[in-house]
Amino acid sequence: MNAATQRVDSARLGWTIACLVAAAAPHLANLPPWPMALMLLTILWRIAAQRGHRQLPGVVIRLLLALAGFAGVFVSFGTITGLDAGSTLLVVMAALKLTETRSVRDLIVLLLISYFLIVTQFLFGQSILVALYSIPAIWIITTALLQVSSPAVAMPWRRAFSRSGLLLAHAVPLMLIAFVLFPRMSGPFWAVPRSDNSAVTGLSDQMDPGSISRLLESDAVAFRAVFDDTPPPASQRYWRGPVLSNFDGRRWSIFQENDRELLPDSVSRAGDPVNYEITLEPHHRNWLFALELPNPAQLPRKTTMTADRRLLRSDPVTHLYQYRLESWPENIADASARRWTLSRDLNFPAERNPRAQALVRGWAESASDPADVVRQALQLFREQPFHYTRAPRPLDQRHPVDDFLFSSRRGFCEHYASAFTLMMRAAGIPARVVLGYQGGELNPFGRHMTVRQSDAHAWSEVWLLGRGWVRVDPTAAVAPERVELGVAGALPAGEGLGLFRSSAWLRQVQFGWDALNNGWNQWVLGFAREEQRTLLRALGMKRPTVRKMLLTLIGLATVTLSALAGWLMLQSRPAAPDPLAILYRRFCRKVSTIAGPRKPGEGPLDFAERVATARPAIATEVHAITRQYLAARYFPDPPERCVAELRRQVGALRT
Amino acid sequence: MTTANAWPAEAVAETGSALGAVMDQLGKVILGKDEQLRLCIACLLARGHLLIEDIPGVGKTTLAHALARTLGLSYQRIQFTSDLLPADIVGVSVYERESSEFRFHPGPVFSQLVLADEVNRATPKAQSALLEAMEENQVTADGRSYPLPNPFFVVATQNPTYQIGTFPLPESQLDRFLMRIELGYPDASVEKKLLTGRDRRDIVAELAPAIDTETLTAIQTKVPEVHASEALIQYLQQIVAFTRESAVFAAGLSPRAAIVLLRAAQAWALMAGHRGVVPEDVQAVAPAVIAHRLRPRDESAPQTPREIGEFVLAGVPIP
Repeated sequence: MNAATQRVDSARLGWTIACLVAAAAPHLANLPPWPMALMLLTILWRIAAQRGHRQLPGVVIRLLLALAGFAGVFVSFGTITGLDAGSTLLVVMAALKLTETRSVRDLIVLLLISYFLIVTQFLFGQSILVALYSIPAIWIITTALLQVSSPAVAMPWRRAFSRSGLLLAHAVPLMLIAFVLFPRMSGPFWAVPRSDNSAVTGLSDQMDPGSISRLLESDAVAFRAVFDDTPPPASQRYWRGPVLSNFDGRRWSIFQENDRELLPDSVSRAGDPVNYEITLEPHHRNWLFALELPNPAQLPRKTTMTADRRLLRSDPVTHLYQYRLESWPENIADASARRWTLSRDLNFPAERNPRAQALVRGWAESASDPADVVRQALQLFREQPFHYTRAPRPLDQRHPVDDFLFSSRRGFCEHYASAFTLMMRAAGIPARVVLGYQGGELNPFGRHMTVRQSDAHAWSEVWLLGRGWVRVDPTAAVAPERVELGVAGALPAGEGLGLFRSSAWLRQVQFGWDALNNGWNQWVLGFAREEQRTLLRALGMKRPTVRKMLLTLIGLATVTLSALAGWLMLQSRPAAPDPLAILYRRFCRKVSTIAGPRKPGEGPLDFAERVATARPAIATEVHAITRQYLAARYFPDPPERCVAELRRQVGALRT
Repeated sequence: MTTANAWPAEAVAETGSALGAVMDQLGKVILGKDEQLRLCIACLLARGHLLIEDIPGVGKTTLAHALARTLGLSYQRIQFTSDLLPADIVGVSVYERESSEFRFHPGPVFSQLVLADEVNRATPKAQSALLEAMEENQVTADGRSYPLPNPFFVVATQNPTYQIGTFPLPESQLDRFLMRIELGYPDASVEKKLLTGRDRRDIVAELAPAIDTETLTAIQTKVPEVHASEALIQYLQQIVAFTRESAVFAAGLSPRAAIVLLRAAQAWALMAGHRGVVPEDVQAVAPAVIAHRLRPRDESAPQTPREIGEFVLAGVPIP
């Protein structure tokens, strides 16, 4: 029986179903649940059919089911192509394929689909967890492939696993060669753009009350940074992101004009630079984060610096992105700007928040210089009973700043930044809100600094004559611990950030896991185009091109496979065939035309008998050869020159 | 299976002729069972014990009796029943007034050929008394050991285990038997001879020994000396490895099974007049030697000794 016709037995079916489930299960996180439900249904159907309770569907029903599958995918996504729809379609069709598994060949097809399903996982995410899951999954599928395709009864599962493990281990050298040599595109070629990024947690390009405190819930990593030297102190670790200049009385948003590129001559340098590398998690936005203020002469590729000194990339960051920066912390920005160029940072709707405006106007009249107004505002926060809390009461929709300043007086960083910036503008001082992250945590295992979504922060920048843009963090006036200790240290008791922050032991586990992820990002995912070319140059490849890489890859793969094949052949045939065996095999070949080839388990005497019976004319010669062979191979004291004699006899044999 | 006797050395020829006489005589009594007879003799020569598994009335007892007569061995038959006691097999110590001490009265096991009839009808306790005697070649009673005669050959018969009121031998005890064979129904021509000819029991009673005990034991000592070449040992090892790797069996063959398989093959080679063991010798004895030591994992695996033998031998290429 061959694989095409051999009927499916329960053990083989069980292996296949297990693999299908193992391959499809991770997609529960990425895809709608109905394809999984469908798969469960077809599995039950198939098992019932195996037990004889049900019939497998006929061709018409299968056709209808397939059409329904396509329709279902189209209804869910409005298309049947693209990452989500395509993957869903794959799961649906794999589920339906189960209803037409009648032979072992069908099972093998399903197992190959399972491999493919595992690969599609990586289109949705390349985290270490996905990779860790795929290794045992691929092992199980390979084992199942061995079990399902073996013609006889299956092996015991322990041995099957060890054998497939061995098979996979043989593939490791090839995997490493392919990893190093397969040409990297400038972005990962699997980075299929996803239409839907609502699931991504992160800073947005606008700020209203509550938008940042929402991020507090998320322990997700925003980015990791590695400093060449000592990291700057916490009070200087303001990672700048979007700069918000538009204000409608409640919401701050980006002023599109500011996207234009910074003029190169408006750059000055002071103090010592800080060099660092950032590994940014995909946030599907164009901006990059940087410490103040990055050197515009050393920007990552495809990145520009805008007039308000944001780093802007030409494409959104859809995959893990690494970049190096040099920042000058004491840099002065726009010190010589004209006031009128800053008019956009003075606008605010006059009809909203009137009490705040009135208060500040009083200060501005009495103050001798703008810095005095800044001091007064901060003093207000410090001396009046303002509280730092992640859960303030909702503010008035129309006059939120008034409500906050005079009534609620409880708020998170966005409330303080918003109120402060408005107050500055009301006093005639150019001011803007900056979003980003503040702080970050040095990982004791990895030397790297991890910045999480919960480190999200909002602060202000005011423009002072002669000093340019100056960072003012009004939150620090209310809760200085926010800057020194991070959010968790600054929040009042009872507003903690969950389990991980409370237990020292879990904290260690989290640090370790974070370090592991960072290593994965650095060494595996971070091995992109530039890193690859650098490595290949170091290995001696002059001017690496895609063509050269592919040729080397094919060459090395051939060498590796040949070496493996040679080694395996040596393994499976421990003793080199001796001349005796070669001669006897030649004899068997010669007479195979008479009575068919010798079966592997057929003894020489039996074979000789069979040949002699089939052609009595050469019986004497056949028996003589067999006798000679047996004497040389199995009997004590083989005669001298028996090999030569056998060679002569076999050579002389005429069939 | 070929019996080509084409290249004997003198010693082999001598042995062959002695055994040939035995075979001839047995063949006249036990009709149409040449292969089983050869296996019996091979088993005896390899100093093993024989288990015959078949339904009643196919000639198990006649075979054992004929063997004893032809080989000139002292013969005892023990009918195993559910109330058989160990003492009924090995013997018992009896107090004797004259000498005022216990004297050991040897049981039926003290014979050169013991027929243990329907061994699976006795309780495990009685079974193990026999099996221990087989293993140790001696009987211990009241702290004293009594050696069993030489040669010592047990032929046990067993009803197929599905019959009511039987205690099937456990695997560990099946292992004590070198071979397990089945006799099977005679074919039509043989059966006609049985029906028309003289009573087999009368014929057996008239049999004279065809070989003397000294020659028999001499041949027995020759068996382990039969040449087993490197290539043959490799073949044996591959057979054993195959049973261990195949998922068909619950457990593979033990090293002891490999040794006794070699002994049986050597005995067979001696009988066939081969100067060394050839693969066919192994193949000839393999089903009888290995089948009862391998337990099929499930009903899809080969079941009968013949199927098991074919499965294993077809699966192992001869090097």
